[in-house]
Amino acid sequence: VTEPTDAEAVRELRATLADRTGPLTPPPDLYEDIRRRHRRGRGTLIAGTAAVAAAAAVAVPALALGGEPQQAGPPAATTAPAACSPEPGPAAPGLRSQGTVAGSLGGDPATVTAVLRVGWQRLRQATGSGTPLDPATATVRFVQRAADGTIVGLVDATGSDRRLGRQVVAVTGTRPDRLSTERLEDENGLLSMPKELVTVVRACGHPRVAVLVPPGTAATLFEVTDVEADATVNRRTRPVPVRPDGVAVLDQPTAPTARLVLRPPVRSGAAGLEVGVGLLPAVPACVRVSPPGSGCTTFQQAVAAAPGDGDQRQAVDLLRQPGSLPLTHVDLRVLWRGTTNGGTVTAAVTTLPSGAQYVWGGMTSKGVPGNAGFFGVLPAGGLDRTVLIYRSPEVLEGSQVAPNVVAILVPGTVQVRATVDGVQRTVTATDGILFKGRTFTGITVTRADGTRLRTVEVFALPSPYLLPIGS
Amino acid sequence: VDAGAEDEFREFVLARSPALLGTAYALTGDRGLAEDLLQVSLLKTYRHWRRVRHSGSPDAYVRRVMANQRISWWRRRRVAEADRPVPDRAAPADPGPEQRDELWRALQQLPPRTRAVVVLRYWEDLSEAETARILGCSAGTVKSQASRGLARLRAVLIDDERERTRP
Repeated sequence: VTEPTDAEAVRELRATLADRTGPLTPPPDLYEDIRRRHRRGRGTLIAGTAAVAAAAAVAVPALALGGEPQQAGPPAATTAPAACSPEPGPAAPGLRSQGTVAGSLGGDPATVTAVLRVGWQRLRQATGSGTPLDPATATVRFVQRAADGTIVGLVDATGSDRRLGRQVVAVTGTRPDRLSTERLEDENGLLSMPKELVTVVRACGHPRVAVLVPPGTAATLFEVTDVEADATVNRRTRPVPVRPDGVAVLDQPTAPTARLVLRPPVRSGAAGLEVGVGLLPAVPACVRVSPPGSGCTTFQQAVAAAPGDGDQRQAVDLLRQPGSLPLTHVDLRVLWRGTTNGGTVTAAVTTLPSGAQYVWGGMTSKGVPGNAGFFGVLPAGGLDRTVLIYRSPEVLEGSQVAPNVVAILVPGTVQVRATVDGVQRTVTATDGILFKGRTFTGITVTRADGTRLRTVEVFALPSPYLLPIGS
Repeated sequence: VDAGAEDEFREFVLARSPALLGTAYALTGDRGLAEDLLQVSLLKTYRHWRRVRHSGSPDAYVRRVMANQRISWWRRRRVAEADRPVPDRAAPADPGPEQRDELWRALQQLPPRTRAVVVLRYWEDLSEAETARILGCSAGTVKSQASRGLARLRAVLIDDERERTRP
């Protein structure tokens, strides 16, 4: 036997890898999958805030306004072809057969079994061979036939040692033998609550909202149509038919600001859950800055021109989240970028065609994953009379970051009075100021002429359909 | 990511994902895992695309993420994988001769870092310096790991040759 040389071994290795990798083709929706996972990841902390506060907006929306979009890029909606790539669903050892599950097809054993097998196949792949996922935990949550006949189901499983969190996949298809799957992250990425699960799944290339809630829960869909000059938000509403077993599958609304409001049958001090389910438009590369007509600039330039010493990159990331800017707007101004505990706080304002002002921003903090955002509408010119206050503990629930932070964004130069840790402080601030301490009370802001300005806690809850920054 | 960069990223994914999926498959030995590795790596790339696109070599960035992500996964799942002597071979079907089948198995049985070195050096055809940069180690480490990996593959070829020439 002749021992092969290194060159021969490499040649053989290349031939082997060419054989193996040659037939591979990436999933056709890879790009859209990446975009969607990116958006889900950003929503996680805000979803966590909602869990604590029991009534909150989960996604940062944009306003759906009349007229043609001026500067927005194409909506982030999937444009994938409406076709399913069926996946094999072989029997797998350890899977438990299930009886009737929720959903209109939940009583069809063949369909439930097909969904379970295909779902498990994907779950297993998602965590690799030798997976710690326990097949005995694989469970079909529901199987529903959508209005156009498409089958939509959800399957989840957990690790046998409980160290691996719940993993969820959506199973969709046109027939039980033509099912395909979509990875849905783990439960933390799903905008889910312990008992409610609302997620956007792509059923054969077509985005749908899958809802699984406790029986008896009522659901209403709100879509913003326009905002008037006095900050009145006009919206259309329609009830979403939820089956008695708590399942609903609906087409994803085409409006960027669309919210599904869930009201459980028994309220325990909670007003319900609000989940953003609209199409989040991409933030345009080019924005118009104040004054109107001054041309076009990038977010980076707008942030760089803003007062404050906060990290520019973090501020841009906070402001440029998908869906953060209304489709139709007139101009844009970054109000401030300040520094928190190793993080950044920022806010921007844009004028809507009616003259109303749309304010949004966010905050990061060192040692706390993710970021928290807010948005709201002010009447025309309202920003000149309004002070925006960020209070970190309300945002970063459970944060061990100390000291706590109050950031105050002010219109121009004002005098700020606040009692911080029992000590009254009075400072003159321009554009923004940050207080650090454990407790903050009695925050008042006045102009040089003594006029007192209205203060708005931007993360105050509960939220109606847009944050209550009213007149 | 602004609109121009968004378009660039989309084009990059379309153009490069087939080749990168091949690399992911070579690193994982499992079709499903390879798709996940590719998606996770491209997601990380997307988050830093503004910087990556100007680096001149987005491919190298994705490879680095893939290699390190794969090693990270292995660290978390090494106990589970210890019970898995033969990697998943479900897809794609292997059309090659038996010898290549053995070589493929041997590649998958290499420790993840050694496997990454072998794949990057001999499949991606990167230099020792480039491989070292991607894996965050020294060129000397790459050299020794490549040598070790290749020795293991040569041994498989010898065994196979012996098997075939046995009377």
